[in-house]
Amino acid sequence: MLFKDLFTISSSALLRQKMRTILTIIALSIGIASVVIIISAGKGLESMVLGELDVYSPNTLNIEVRVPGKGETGSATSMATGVTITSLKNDDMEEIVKLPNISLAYNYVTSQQVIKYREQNKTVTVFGYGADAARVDNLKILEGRFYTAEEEKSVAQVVFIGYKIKDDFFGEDTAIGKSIFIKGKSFRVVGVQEEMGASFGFDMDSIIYIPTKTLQKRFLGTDYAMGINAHVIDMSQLENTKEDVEMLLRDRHDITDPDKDDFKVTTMEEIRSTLETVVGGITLLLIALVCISLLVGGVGITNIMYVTVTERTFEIGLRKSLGAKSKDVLWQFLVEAMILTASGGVVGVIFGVLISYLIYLGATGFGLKWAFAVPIYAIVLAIGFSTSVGLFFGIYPAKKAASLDPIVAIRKD
Amino acid sequence: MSKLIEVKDLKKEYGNDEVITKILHGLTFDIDKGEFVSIMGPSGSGKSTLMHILGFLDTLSEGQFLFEGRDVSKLEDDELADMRSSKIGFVFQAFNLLNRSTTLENVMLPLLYTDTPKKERVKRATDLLNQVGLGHRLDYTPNKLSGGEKQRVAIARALVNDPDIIFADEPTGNLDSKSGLQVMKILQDLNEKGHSIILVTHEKYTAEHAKRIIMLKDGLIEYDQPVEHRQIADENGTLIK
Ligand SMILES: Nc1ncnc2c1ncn2[C@@H]1O[C@H](COP(=O)(O)OP(=O)(O)OP(=O)(O)O)[C@@H](O)[C@H]1O
Ligand SMILES: [Mg+2]
Repeated sequence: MLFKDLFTISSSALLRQKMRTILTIIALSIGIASVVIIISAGKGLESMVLGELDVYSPNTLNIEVRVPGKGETGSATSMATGVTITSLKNDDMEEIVKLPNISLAYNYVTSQQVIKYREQNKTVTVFGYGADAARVDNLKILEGRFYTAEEEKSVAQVVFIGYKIKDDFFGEDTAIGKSIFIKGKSFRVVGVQEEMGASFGFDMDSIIYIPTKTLQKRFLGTDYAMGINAHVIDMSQLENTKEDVEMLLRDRHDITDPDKDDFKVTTMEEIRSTLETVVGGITLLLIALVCISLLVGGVGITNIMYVTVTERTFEIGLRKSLGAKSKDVLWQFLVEAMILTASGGVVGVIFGVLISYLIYLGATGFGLKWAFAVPIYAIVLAIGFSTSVGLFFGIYPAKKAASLDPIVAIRKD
Repeated sequence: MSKLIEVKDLKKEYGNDEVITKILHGLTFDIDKGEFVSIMGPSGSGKSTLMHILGFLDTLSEGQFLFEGRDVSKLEDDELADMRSSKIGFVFQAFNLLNRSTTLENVMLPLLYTDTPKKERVKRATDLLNQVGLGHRLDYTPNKLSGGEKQRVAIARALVNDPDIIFADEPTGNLDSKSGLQVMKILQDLNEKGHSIILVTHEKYTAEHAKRIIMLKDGLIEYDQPVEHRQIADENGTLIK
């Protein structure tokens, strides 16, 4: 029997049962669309999360304080427990810069402060960042400049402001040279940062930068930092450099047991791969869940095909009486199941892509750095999977049809 | 003449574990190639059952059935299917047409399982439908056809694969005498060309268009003899002796 004939028979049988066919295709396409949407959303989420990291240079080595022996990330733990680690001093940073594979470094502290310009008040996060932050973090300057090492050394009251601050306080006017007040102290604006958007949910445009030393001396009265960011020169030596930093700090902090470290050194690579793993894991979990819905759809196919075979017992018997072989009948019903599921696959992919695009529009509308991507493998997977579902779940009813005894089948009607 | 069918002590019973209905109690007969045989008998005597067995559609319960010298019970399903599609044409008593397919599609159906190209299938089926006077009903579905028209579609379908053997179960049952005779004419012509024909009928007059009659009664052969005064049907369905 020719495949073309098989296809004609099967598709015209499906067309005769329009409602049933359409409903089955819809049911299947929902599962398929979900697979496409989840893979695409996973990609979007990944691009968004990893995109946040693009703010940081991959050459950055991050050193954060950490409560010894407890938890993974020190700052979070110390915030939660109220313990403050005070051991990461400014001198530590000075020594780290002296390491051969490190060109620049800066230390940082943050603090919430109310800032004031004329009649306007604002509570903002103040980043106490070293002068080299501009180069280590590749800060984008809209106008003016970042403060200098000399200004930091002299504990100058200079400020580099986020885009929204400039917009709210100064509007169209230039901000450079103007003074804003932080806790009553006057700071001269030296530069404005480009619009950054949010990073991990944190509004990077409503912040201000002042020299670390200025924040420590003028407001906090301390001499320790929350962390250090260092710029690595030769990335191939990253791991060694990381160890050098760890050894140096252990030595300076009198630590012999690495478990008692009061700091944690992380590379951007580690952060990136951790995030990739997390997003990938979530995506995989969701796909697994959706696959269950596809299995349910598959059982639905078995059910529908079983009903179809039962309804068409007479037709099957007649075909066999007129010379159809068991395998002709088997294929007739398998092809029918596969046309159903493949159509479900195609419709599902179309809807999946459309909805993924809507999600992308929505996400970007909310200002998220979401990318629209439907990987080819998602489409191949969806259609391939749905067709195999047809094959797999159609085989039982088709076998039943193929094994019918011709005369018994004819008599049944 | 070489043997087409050899049946020895054929028995057929239907039933489950509780009730067993014996239909055929032991039939023995041979049919040669090129014969034209009528099977007669009262209603319920097992004529259709016997035809189904001889046409590989049903299996016997006991006894032996050789087709062209081969034991049918030992043939594979696919071989039986091949024989059904290449050697046998069946006119079912109940027509057995697909109600959702057109007349033309119904007639083409057996060719689907041969390697006949689509064009050829359409041509053969159309020709046959013209021959049985249904050229104007090609795209009708059977539920729009009269009983006699359905019967003629069934006959056209049985002939479409140019079978060696034609089994016709009451092919004139729903036809007026003129149309009935036209069908008999077709069968007699085919027989002249060498096709073997096995006809089931309960009418003596129709049965006498064959060359031999096997009479069934109470599950046994009452008699099996040649037709003495054979009826010959002509083009117009009128009778010449
Ligand atoms: N599947 C079956 N199960 C049980 N009994 C059956 C089955 N098929 C046929 N019979 C019985 O077998 C007997 C013979 O049936 P069959 O159809 O062969 O008769 P027939 O000679 O063709 O009669 P008619 O002239 O009315 O067509 C009938 O009594 C019928 O009830
Ligand atoms: Mg009968």
